[in-house]
Amino acid sequence: MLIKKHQYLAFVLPAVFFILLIIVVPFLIGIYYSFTDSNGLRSSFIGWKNFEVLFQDSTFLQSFWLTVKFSFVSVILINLVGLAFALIVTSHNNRLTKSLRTIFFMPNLIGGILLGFIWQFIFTSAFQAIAAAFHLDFFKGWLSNPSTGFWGIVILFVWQMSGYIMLIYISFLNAIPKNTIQAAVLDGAKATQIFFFIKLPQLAPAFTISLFLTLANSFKLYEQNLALTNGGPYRSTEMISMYIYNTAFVNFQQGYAQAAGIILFLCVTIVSFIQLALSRKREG
Amino acid sequence: MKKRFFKIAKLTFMLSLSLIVLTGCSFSSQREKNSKITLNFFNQKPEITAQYQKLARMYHAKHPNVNIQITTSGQGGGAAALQAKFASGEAPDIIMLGGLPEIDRYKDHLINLKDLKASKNIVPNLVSGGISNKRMVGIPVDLEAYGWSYNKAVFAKAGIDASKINNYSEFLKAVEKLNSEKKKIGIDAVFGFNGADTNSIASVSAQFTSLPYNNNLVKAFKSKTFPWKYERQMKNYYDLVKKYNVQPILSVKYDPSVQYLFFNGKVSMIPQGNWIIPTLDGLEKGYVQKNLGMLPFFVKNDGTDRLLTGSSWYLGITKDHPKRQKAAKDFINWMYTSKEAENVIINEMRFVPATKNFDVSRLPDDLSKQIYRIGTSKNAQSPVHKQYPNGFTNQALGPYIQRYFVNGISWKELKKETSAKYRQLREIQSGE
Repeated sequence: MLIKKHQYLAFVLPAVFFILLIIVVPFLIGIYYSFTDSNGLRSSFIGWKNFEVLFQDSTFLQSFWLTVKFSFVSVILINLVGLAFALIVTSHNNRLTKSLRTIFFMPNLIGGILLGFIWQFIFTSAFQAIAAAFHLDFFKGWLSNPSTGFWGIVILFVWQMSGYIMLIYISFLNAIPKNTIQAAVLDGAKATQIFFFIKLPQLAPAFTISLFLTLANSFKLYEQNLALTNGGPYRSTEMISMYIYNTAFVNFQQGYAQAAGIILFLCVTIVSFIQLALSRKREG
Repeated sequence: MKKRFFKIAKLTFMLSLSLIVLTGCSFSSQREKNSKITLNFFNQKPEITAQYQKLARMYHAKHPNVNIQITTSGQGGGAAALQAKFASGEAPDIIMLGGLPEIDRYKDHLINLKDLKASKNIVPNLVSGGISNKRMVGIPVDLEAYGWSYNKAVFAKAGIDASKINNYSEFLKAVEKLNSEKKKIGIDAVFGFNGADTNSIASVSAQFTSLPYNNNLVKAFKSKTFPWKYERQMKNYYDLVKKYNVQPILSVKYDPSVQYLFFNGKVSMIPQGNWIIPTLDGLEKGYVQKNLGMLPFFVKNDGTDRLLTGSSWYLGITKDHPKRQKAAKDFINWMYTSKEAENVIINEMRFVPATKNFDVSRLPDDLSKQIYRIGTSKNAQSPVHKQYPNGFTNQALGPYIQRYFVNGISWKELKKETSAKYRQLREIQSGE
């Protein structure tokens, strides 16, 4: 009896210990540092000053707003593209759709930094060649102005994440009972009607998971941002994570950067909770 | 029965013998370890890691008890990686530091190098770049020249004699001539300014911000304001670049600007110094001697303008491991005073040495010789861009000038924003 009781603890305690050590403790230390003027080597307590300055810092607000815009656009696009991919590969069961599954998922296997460099080559060199060959101004000077820089990161991120989100949608699409669809077909429903009135409502839990994943990931985006534009041109594509890193390790304002990190944490938490609550309601 | 006993006895004997041999080994290796020293060298210039490793091997061959472990981290990540080393308690013994702001961060860890044999020989106008609290804690890695690198072949095709360009109006004339004959001489544009890189933008800005400090880098580091004394010339040059550069200027990057645009004669000038020598000669042997020349910026415009000469990087020794300090000092002395080390430095790293009384004829190309003469002359001027506050280059000056290049900000706004950011960063970092 005694052994059984302790067996549970023996399994859980090591994991709890490491979570405490690696996540909880640094997190608490981080909260403390957000109230100091730490430069990485020395620090002293300065109260709420970092937060006061932060809300007047135009660069911080700018990169925060950019991140919100980016998250909004990429969450919508990733879910649309991911769902479209899922519908394509589940529509038939043949060799083509099977290989498409692999192809759509492949970008997810490559690391963010590498993807960034690959797309940088595409946007600058390949696009430049297309522009020169066909005299298309649309392909000229990508990543060299704020709007192409922004859309460049969106395209890269959508390309990377859609395959992953596709997997989630596939599993939920396959779980839809076949008989409901057959019944609809017998009643004379068109393909669009089947999609909107039968498949979509049953995909609600898939939306909850996918939205949560894409939202959290796009708020925290860093390495794709670093490899593709590195914040350029003139810091116009510097997202919040990159702003925090640069403030901490380039400017050495680590207490200040920590305060920005806390704000980011609060925002991701609040947004995620709202989103979860809303989609759960719809699911129910 | 008897046989078996012998077998066991033999086995036991061999086992114990091997044990003795093994323990003997470990004893002797332990003894060796006590006198063996491993120096940790933190390098922030990835392009010369191989040569540093070669120097380390050469030194190890002469001093078998000293091993030199080189850790390289550069291109933006160096400063953070170095901080991580100190924070984790594994402070390197020899560290490469970029400018006084970085030296200042580690000043409590650095020892005074004033009595070092290597320090006595340093080119005078580079000394102040390694001084913290009146102690000499850093010695320059090399002597670098800042100005325009021009392609001699392109200039010759346009019929321009670079030695006859001695003031701004003559420079302007040459630029206009190059531009009007673009097609004939086969260039895409006059300038290949890599507008994407904030570091190059900063080193060019030094042409206009260094003169007021007159080689006193400590003063430049302590200055609370950004010097605008030569802003008219600064604006002139930026406007000129804006007009005659490869477009779009912000997508021109360092590597392609050197290895493609400049090397292939697609542009006539790029704002780089002698650090492009190894790359160019790596692409084609003898290219530098044949094609590379340098022109100064005409700022004072009174005939005394020269290439700026300074060192971006300084070496320091930490006091975190007192036992290894002497070995670290010996290694640095060897690097800066022995002929064999110098040969690697000038012929393989292609550095111009930062030491006095160097025999110029040993340098492998004319440009290096010219730079050494300018750098050791009485009117040598050091650039101050490495003394800007941490982050000022990448987070303020660079982005604002990039914005100016694409007409996203007026000169007046640029001045206002740059000055404000400079003051703010300086105040935070000096802890005031």
